[in-house]
Amino acid sequence: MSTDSIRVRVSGIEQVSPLIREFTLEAIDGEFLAFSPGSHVVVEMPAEPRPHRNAYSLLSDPRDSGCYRIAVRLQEQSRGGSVYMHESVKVGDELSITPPANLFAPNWNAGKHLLLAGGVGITPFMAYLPELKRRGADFELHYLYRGSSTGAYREQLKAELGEQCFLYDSEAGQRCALGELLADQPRGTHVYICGPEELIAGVREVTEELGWPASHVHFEAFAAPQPGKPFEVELSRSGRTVKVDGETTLLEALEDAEVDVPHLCRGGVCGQCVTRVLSGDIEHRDEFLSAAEREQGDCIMPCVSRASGKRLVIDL
Amino acid sequence: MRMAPKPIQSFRDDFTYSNSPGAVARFPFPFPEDEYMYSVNIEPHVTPGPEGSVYEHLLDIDEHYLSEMHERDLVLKENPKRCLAMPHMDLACWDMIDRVMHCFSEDYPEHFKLTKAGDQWTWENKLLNINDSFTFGDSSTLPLPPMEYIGRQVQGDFALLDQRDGDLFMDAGIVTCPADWSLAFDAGMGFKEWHGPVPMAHEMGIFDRALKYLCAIPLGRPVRRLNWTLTVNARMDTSPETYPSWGSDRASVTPENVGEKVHLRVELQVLDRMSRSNALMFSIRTYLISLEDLVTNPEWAKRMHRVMKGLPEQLIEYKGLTRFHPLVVDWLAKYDPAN
Amino acid sequence: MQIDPRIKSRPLYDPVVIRPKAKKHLFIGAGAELDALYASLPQEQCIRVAGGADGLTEALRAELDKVFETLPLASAVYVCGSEGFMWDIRNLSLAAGLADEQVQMCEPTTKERRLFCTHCYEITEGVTHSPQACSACGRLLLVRDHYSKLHGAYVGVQINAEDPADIPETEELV
Repeated sequence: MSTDSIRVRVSGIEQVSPLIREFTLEAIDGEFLAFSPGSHVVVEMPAEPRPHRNAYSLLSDPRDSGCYRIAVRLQEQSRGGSVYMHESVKVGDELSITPPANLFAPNWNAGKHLLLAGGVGITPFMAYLPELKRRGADFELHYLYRGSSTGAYREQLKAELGEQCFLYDSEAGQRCALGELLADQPRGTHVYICGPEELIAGVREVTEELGWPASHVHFEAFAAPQPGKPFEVELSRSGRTVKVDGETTLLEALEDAEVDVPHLCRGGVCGQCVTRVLSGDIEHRDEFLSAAEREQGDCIMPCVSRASGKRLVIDL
Repeated sequence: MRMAPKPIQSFRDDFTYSNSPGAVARFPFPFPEDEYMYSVNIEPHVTPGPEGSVYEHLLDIDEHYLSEMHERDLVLKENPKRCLAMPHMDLACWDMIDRVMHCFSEDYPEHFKLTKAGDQWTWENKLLNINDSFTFGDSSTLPLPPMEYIGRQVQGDFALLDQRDGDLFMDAGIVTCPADWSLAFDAGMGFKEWHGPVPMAHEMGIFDRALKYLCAIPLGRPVRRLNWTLTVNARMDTSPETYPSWGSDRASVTPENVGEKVHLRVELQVLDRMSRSNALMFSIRTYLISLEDLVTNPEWAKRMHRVMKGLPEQLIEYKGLTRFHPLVVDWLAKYDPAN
Repeated sequence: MQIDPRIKSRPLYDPVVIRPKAKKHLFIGAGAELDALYASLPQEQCIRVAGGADGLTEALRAELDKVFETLPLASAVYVCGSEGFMWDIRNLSLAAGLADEQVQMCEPTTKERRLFCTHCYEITEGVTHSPQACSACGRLLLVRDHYSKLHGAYVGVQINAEDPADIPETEELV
């Protein structure tokens, strides 16, 4: 769903690890609402030829509506959003955000919450932890990072959580033995993973092998859209043709052409932007469509996926 | 609220309920076309809506406030289980308290006042002579469980839907004026389960699309839709629980009393994301208008006839209209110039 | 458009298959389907609990509470019996921390239904025909296909509330 935006002012910037910056955002008009742990906002940054729009988890205490905080990792392969946040955004600047939405909420029926964070994937759990503590829930945090680049908040977490916090600095040779960790959990445990794709894939594989119920395995896997080959897309209802260059996503190209497509996460997860494809081959890059739906080849998630050939005809 | 709440009228026994001309004028007539069919007719509930309309505020209260709160009290006294909240919904209930109190005190400041000092809240409802101080989030500081406490102060039925595994579960609510569904039976069901009895819409993919849309509602961006049925007499509590006491109403319609007895019942359904719990608040605000009052608007009268005449058989049966539907169509015919 | 008259809340029962990665397999009830599955697994991975013919009795419940305490996270439950009994077991399993996909049910052993009276909220067991008198309030109930997993029951609504004289013929439930 396309939603109007909230104007915010950057009221604080802090370097929380060599590659991660934390931004404190304040509402310009009125007050923020409290939010639920696991929520994200899409930050819109003014840039040419079009604004950058990236989704970031809210990491502040969800009951605190005074400010929202996000953390941004500088990405080497960035399409510009993280570089913009790191290099251009200064205290006092104004940005736009979408209202919070949640695709990664805790399941409060869980007997135990096992949190697995990789690098900047610590952010949604920063919002989980105050709520888990308020409820007196049983939880453990396992945090994997590289000491020279990520690992934000680790001293603070260790101090606050003590024996419920396990730190693994891969550069110090500290490995998290996923197999052992996941084999030795009590009935009723839910595991939540936020981090790089390899970590998510690894945990999913191990839990499946260990006989975990799939509905107890939760992951947040925003895929930053990757570039690809240029292609053309024909809009069947209007007969218009829109060109999509290699650095632009199909969703962005449609927005540039003022075609409104509902969307929420812009990262291949929420399923809002799914669009019917009438002809042409698709390179699926999302986390939303099932294998069967991909096989059918009649729908695409334009936020991350592209044509594998030169042309698509879509039902818009 | 531009209309002052009227003294208490009844939705049972002698049915003294009536709409003022102002209430008739703002009635949410639900048919945009001469033909009715299901659709995913969900739209953003952007407030403030048109001044004085039922869409002006997030939650509409009107001249029937005292009557509906009295009726709710009667239903709950007869059957306290018409209100329930599973233990994991406690925070969602407090979210609802937060949302209702903030909206009411901002939208209807002449009747409601909220004073906050951190977690110490004081709530004043001048219409019901309530003045309570409590600690936000601490259910032991309220005189009633949180769902019942706030539910007794809002017009319309409310459910709180817990969002898990891409589904919405009916895990809390206060339902005393439903169009023939039982919260006690539907408790804990997923979205497609509690819609199980609805004919045709499953095959049309309505619920797949609606569920996906509803799961993605962000904070502060509520949506709404209208639903409708016909009710004999101005009866709010058309629940399955009490069906033995109102079922015979359906056999009481005659050509002479159609206009007075048969009411168009419209539900303004609003879905709003709860901030701390991520639950969806589902408010079902019911408006009743007699056909007699409805036909004072010639456009409504004409369209009502055409919609009723073209209603598919399955919907007539599902909505429980079989016994009196032909009488309604015949009575409305004289208001349709096409006849 | 094909209209499917089936009420969508009514459960369907797929064939029961072994969850291959489960560390412990709990079999509850009796039936040929369960026997065959039980026989296909190493005995040390299996727990078998008989009973269920009389539903979830106090004694069976106490026994199961003890068994559930011993189950690891990666468990599988297979249950055979009446429909209401199987959903009782599913609800116990969820309360013990298992997930829906860890509980598999056989085709119900009888067509008998558990009926929830929407007027007095009481349960009538072993219902085979509609309409059926509620065992608590005595009202004559139309047995509908709308199903609650939480109650493990179908909903019953008074059949002749609109016209007391209008009592349809009794039909066997399928």
